[in-house]
Amino acid sequence: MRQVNPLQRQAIRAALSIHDHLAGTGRMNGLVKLPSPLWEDTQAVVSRLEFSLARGWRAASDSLLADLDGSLRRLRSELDTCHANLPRATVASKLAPPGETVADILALDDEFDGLTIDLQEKLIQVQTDPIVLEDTALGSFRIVLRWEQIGRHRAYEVVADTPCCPEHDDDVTHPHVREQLLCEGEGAAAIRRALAEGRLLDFFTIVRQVLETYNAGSAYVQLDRWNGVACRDCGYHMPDNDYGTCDRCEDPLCSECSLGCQKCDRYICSACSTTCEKCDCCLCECCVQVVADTGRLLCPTCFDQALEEENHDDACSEEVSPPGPAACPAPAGAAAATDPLCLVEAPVPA
Amino acid sequence: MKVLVINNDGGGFADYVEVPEGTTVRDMFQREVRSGKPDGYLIRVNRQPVPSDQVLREGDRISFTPIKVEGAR
Repeated sequence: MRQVNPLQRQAIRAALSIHDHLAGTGRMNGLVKLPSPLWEDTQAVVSRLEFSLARGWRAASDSLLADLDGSLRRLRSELDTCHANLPRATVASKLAPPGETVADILALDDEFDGLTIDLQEKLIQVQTDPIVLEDTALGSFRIVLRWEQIGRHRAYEVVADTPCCPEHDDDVTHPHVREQLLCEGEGAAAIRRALAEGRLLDFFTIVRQVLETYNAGSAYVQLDRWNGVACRDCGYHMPDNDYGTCDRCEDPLCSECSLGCQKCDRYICSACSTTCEKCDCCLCECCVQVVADTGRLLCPTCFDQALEEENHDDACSEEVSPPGPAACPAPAGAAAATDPLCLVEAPVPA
Repeated sequence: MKVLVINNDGGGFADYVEVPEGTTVRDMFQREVRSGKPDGYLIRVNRQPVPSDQVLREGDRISFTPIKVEGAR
């Protein structure tokens, strides 16, 4: 007589229970999931775009138009997926027989660590290897499936064994996991189908592959901001949801490094700032004025002053002959007298 | 002969398909996963990793699971 070990016994019982559930009425739930959140997001972008257009904000409108383009593409893609996944019939023709589910559960024991089956709680869980994404160690995760919830909301959870949360957001344990809920992205359809058909090995494997993949374009918290946002000038880490930026280049900037342009009052970083060569005041690159011949950088006040001085010098040389110190007093700055300016306002090179 | 093919790329379809005798894992990959390279997938026959030149047999279960599956938020 063939010996059945405890794991096999548990696997058989779990498989029968899973099969009973999937063959029941709850099986169809969740197979067709319309992209309602994405639709609402898209509507919000349209509203913002209309508002921006009404205000005549061209740059913001262009940016929102690009957002809308992306949203519509994603919406179309999700609707295509919905359509492609529409079952041909309500009959569970592809439901894996219990024997296949038993084989899946036993294979999970080879594929993962920490296989646990709880027949009373009707849950089955495995543990991933420690996950490292782009040099950020996130630790291992338990994937916990409650099989009576298959076809309903939140059939499974992804639980960090030793949570490595980003600063200032304890709900996020992985770029694609918030409150133990995985945002499945590209894996959504395959995960739903694997669960609905009782293919447990496929389900756990796809979830693991999502956890081992980083999509920077759609993460709850991007990995380069996992430990906060670094000030571009001094490197100080600021909270991800509360930091300033340079008004010119939009790089993150802490309050200590933030410089104020004397002319336009914008807050700027060191790379976007310059200093008036005459009075040493701080200016952004857009407000500084350049003396065409000498290339000197001046603030508007010093520039105007220098222009007046030059005009005054020209007037003196035309009216008084021969020119002398009594007829044409030297400017207040000796440097200005010895370094006549040829002033032409010129744009700062980019 | 019939084999069960599971393609976990995209929709995650599982279906029995008729294939000629002598069909290898590589043949099956090229037939089922048109875009993509084998090294971007976990390829299993009867839940075990296999070499690409392994010949499939009647009733085999072959699955293709992408290694990179991008999540969202």
